[in-house]
Amino acid sequence: MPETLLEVRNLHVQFDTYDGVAEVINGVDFKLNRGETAALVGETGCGKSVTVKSIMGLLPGADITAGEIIYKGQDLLELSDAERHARRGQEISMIMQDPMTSLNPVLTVGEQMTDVLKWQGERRLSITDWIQDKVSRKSDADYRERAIEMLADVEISAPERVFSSYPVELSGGMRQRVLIAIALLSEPNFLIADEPGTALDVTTEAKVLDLLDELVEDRNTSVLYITHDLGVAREVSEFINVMYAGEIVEQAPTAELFDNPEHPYTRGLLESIPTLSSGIGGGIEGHLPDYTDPPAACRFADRCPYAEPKCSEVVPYPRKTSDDHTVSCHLFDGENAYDRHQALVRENVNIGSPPWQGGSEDETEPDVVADGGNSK
Amino acid sequence: MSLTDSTSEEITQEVHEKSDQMVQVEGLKKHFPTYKGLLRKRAGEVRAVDGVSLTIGEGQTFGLVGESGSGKTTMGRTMLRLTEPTAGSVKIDGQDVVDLSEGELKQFRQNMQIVHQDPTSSLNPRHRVKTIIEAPLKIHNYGNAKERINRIEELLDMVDLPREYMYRYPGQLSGGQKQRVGIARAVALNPKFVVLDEPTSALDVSVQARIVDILQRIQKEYGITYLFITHDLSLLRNVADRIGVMYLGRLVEVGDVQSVFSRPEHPYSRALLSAISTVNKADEQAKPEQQKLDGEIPDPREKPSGCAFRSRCPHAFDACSDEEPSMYEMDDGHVARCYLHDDRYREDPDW
Repeated sequence: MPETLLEVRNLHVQFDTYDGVAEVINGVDFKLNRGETAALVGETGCGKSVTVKSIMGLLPGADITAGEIIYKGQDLLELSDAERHARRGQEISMIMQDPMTSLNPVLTVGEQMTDVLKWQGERRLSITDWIQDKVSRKSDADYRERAIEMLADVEISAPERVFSSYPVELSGGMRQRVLIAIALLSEPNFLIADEPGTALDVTTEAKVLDLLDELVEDRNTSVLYITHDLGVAREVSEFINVMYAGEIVEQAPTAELFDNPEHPYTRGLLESIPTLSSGIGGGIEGHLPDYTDPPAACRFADRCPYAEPKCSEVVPYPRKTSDDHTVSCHLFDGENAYDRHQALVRENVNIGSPPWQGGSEDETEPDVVADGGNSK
Repeated sequence: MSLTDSTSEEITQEVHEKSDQMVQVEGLKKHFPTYKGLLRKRAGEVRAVDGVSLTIGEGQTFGLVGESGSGKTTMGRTMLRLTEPTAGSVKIDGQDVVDLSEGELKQFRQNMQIVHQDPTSSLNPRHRVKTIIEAPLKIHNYGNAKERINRIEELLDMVDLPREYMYRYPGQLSGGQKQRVGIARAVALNPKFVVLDEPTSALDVSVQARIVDILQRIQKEYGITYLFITHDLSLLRNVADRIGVMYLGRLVEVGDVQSVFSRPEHPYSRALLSAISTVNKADEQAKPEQQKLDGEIPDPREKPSGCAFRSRCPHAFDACSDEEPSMYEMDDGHVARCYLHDDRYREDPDW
């Protein structure tokens, strides 16, 4: 049994907007084992960045209304600011999305890297700390050595030169490497990579992803990749969580997901991707629901080609279709939806009668529906 | 595979003799001067497009692919004279666009249009959809107010937008819907040639597939010729008839889409193809083995001598730095600018 490093349980995040309360994350559950690389895949606006920012504790304007984020057996949401800060960048590190804007343009790469090493875990610097540091400059040489070593690790060919460069002097690929170096400086156990490589050209992206893969393998770091690109997710991760409109709609090991995609959204997404051998599908009609007024039951029902009346009335709780394949869709049956159902009952959400109370009918009916979905 | 040492000019000459070419570009160049110092002294130039020749048959799609900084967007804009070319000629439907006077050019613009990359910044946020699509119709004196409204309705139908969206502002539309407005505006006057400058790269894949579908339908119905500019090779595989691979302002490989994808003849095309991320096993087998390139695309102000790609090429040898290779022809118009196809240097035929 692999050891669970991170577990997000029933996470709900809301934002207050002028148009009302936006329920952006609506009950997200997923797990990450130690040493595993998983991906959170979804299109623009599906809430994947909000999910990881909740894990990092980087969402000042948001209201986390329910849920638990359990990291190494401890609920991060119950920790104090100081305790969370001590973990941020140390235990849990993040590679931000855009290499062009994530580095401070007025500090050299070296200054940004030594700052991480020097001040890690310190929440507030007093002015005296800072002056003392400026006066003594005692161990800067050590930091410098460590930073240059890290730059060399990310395969930057002239680490000394890059160390004293400003971000504008570097190309996109180099900046992405610097960001990776900064994220790995404190040897985190858990790394979140938010769209690494998306802003880069394909040849550079492929190289950066390969490099990241090697680095985390060497360090036995667990990685959660955030990406909109199923092709990238297929290459880098062992397990995929597909997200749509603030909910995880399908979870499966990578190979299983691509061999046997189940949720109509996953299938629509896969068919939309232009391929070399089998053409390009028709895409998915419609667009994301309004988060301030989301559909009551299945959030994908309005765009789903297989939707039935039930889909807009009854919440499609996640159900297991095989050992490690979970899908939130009425087209599929499963016996293990119990836990999730209990959680929803606690919150007084009307989700209809659970499947295990439906009698013998349940054994046959959903199979028929599932077949109908598959053959269309 | 016949290896003839003919130059790109000779090849395009041959192609020119066919009469069904809608677009004929000959030695097109666009150089941007660079300045330095307090007195803004002219320091040199960036050769963004440096002698590109290509032809596109009527109703066909030519895919132009390359990484950022390869000059593909400048190429599209210069072909439409949205930036003035430094040299070369662009014939669209037999008319040399470069020779046109300002007034003539304005008239001629109804034949050639562009769909921009970013649907948000290419639509005026203070204008309603109706005003946006009506602009080209008004400029070219299309009918009276009622006829224009009819035409706008027809265009909205064409791009699958509800007619009542006419009275919305771009801010009320999603990215995909905005791009549909951009397409409706571009095809409003029944142009013969449309440049699609990364029309889907700002959109999600599920939306991209819808937009591509609309573009293909419009092309089929009205016989429009497309120049499809993108960095996404898998997308081009599905939309283009012929493709050209651009690197630092030069075409390095041109050929039928089938032929280029099944047998890329330039090391750069091969590396690009090998870097595609795939979603199924068939694709994985269809692409060449992963090839890592050294470094990134060089600064266009400091192009390497000889073959511009040699600084990153895994096969580069001495001859590559002396003189730029010419286009070598393989079969049915598939050409590649690489010495590996020159009998003098070809030692390893299975590179």
